[in-house]
Amino acid sequence: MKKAIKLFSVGLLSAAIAASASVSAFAAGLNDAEKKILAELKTTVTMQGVQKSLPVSYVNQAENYFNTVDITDAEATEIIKRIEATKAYLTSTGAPNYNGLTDAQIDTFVAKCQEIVDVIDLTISYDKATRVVSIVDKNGKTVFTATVGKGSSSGNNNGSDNKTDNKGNNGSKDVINDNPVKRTGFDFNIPGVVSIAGVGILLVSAAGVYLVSTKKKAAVERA
Amino acid sequence: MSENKHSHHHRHRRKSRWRSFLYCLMSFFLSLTLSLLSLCAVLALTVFSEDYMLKAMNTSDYSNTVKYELKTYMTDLVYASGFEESFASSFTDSYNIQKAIENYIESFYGGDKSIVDTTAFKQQLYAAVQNYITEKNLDENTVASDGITYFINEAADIYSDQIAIPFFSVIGKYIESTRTSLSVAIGVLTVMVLGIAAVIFFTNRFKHRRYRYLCYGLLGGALTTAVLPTFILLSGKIGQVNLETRSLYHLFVEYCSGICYAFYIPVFILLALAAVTFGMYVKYYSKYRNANP
Amino acid sequence: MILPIVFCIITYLAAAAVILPAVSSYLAVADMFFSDKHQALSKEHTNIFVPVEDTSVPSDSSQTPRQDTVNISGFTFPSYEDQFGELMIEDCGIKADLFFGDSWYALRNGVGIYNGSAIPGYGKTIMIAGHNNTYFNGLKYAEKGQIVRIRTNYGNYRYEITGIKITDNVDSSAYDLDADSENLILYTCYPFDTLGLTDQRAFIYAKYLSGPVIDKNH
Repeated sequence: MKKAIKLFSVGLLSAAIAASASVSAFAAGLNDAEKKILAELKTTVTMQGVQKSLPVSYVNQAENYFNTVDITDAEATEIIKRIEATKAYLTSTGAPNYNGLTDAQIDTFVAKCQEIVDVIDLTISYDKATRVVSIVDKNGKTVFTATVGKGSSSGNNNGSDNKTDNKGNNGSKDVINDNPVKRTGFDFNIPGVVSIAGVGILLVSAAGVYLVSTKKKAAVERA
Repeated sequence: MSENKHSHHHRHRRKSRWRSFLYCLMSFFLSLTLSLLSLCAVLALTVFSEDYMLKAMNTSDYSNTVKYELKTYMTDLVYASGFEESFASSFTDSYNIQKAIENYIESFYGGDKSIVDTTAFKQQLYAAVQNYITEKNLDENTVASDGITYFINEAADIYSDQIAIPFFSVIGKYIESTRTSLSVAIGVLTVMVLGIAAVIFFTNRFKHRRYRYLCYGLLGGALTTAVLPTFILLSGKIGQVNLETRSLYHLFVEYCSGICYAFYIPVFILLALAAVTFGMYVKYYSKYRNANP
Repeated sequence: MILPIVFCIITYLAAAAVILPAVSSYLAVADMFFSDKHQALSKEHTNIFVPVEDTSVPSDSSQTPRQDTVNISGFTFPSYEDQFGELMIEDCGIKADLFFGDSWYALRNGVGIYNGSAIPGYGKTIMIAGHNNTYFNGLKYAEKGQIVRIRTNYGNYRYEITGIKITDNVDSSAYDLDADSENLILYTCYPFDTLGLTDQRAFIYAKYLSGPVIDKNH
């Protein structure tokens, strides 16, 4: 029912909700609500008995963002509740990692991630050439950025070698990376951390924010 | 006697009510099939049409913007690779982006997997790099041949990202597989529309009623077709899409609002037909009134 | 004449009943791709950098760490792609605008702090990137003991270079974003002044010398 109401507003009353952005302009540091969310982000999720956590760089991004806005207690409570629900769902799937999820499970997972960020009204923006996916709040402040790695979404098949991305995937998936080192500029040999299905970009942010392999596994092993 | 007449009258009225309900239902189905037909026709004219995509690209100045963006990103790459900044612009200026985009679109609508062919790009870039090295008289030691290959591959990746349209390859599959069913749907719907219209037209004793129900159906169809695009256009959602790539943003806005505007073509046709049927209705209704004062 | 309107409404209700359950989750996700505003594609960054006067820094002894503080509520915390300071290494001839976030845009215009690290004074790892052919070209002259100065809209900082490491770009041991003490890492592509791209990076490590510590509770 709730979903139906939301959809109704999305589909038919989008003009009416246009003025709903309500993050206060002045925010001082981290309030208790924001600290609670950060603590929640630092917890782990268990998949097939293995503890997985967000890369610290993601948590830092959240912290930096929270320093520029104020999250209310009510919002924090709701966010944490939804994160917990998502984690419980991941554990319950019995999959070893994100790549082990079935398409239907990915759909559910993404829907759950979307509910989390929905609380503070976030949107996703995408830059084609840099493949940077950002989560932006309704005031245009960037919350989170990640680069979608080499997949075949753009169909490039130019035979360039020494790409080690996307190991163990079927090649039709995009990857997101948590390696902050850029090609000074940017980075090329990106280790795939989370791979996402064809609808990639949508999932990246949500999945990226939420689900990555353990720190150990992240960069070194796949490179 | 009077009782009998009354009951006859009653029965007649009930029958007439039942009949008008039936005709309303038929004009509803006419309205429904007409709007579905409009939807399919618009899709065939826009989403499934290569010309439409090329037109949207032209209107939004896509290839020039892509060229400009490619230059920007190539400049970044050039910064990271030790070339002078001017190298990026001199190369991108000479490369035929327009042609590359057209090839890409053509291969896409031609049913091929939409792959950007980077071979020509790589060859030309390699030649440009060699030129650059000769021109600047660069020492062998300062040129890392691995690094050059790396640079060219990376540039080719950026290039193919710039030319390609995200999700096109995903959508492509569906477009290919739906194309035939769309033609079938258009055919079936046309037959249905004509069938329903014929039933309304030929089963009605009174001419003014034929036109009245046809008019209802046409107006309903026009209205239904018009509501969705009008709503989308008025909501302004299309322009609010979070695409940070300028070329893609303008293409998206042009492409999507173009689809919305395309809906008004069938709307106007339906309205014109409705006006004609309404005129006929008025004409025959006044005749009927005159005949049955 | 009310009939066509009724038709229209019935059609939409029927369509909603049939289609919405199937696409509802996609619609909700798709909505996230749309903001409330029209895209402002003109790319101009916000500059919140107003230099703070260096009155408190002792001019003679650079070895005395100063521990004054600045309240987090007392200044504008930088948002992504804000220019909020500048970075200088006099010995290397480096002077660059400092951005929060290391987007391509930022690196085109200066050097950028990775937004998954921290800002100066926050007591964590500060990780700054720059192009090796532009703003960070001077890092080829970097040596132990040189002073890195960062001026921001809330205070001025000094760090001392402690080490240099050349490594692969995927070597995550080159940095620790989870550190609980203030430390500065500058990095750029390596080698310098060579034509071609490379996977190698030069990491320059520096320790905190002076500058106001951010008081996160006030």
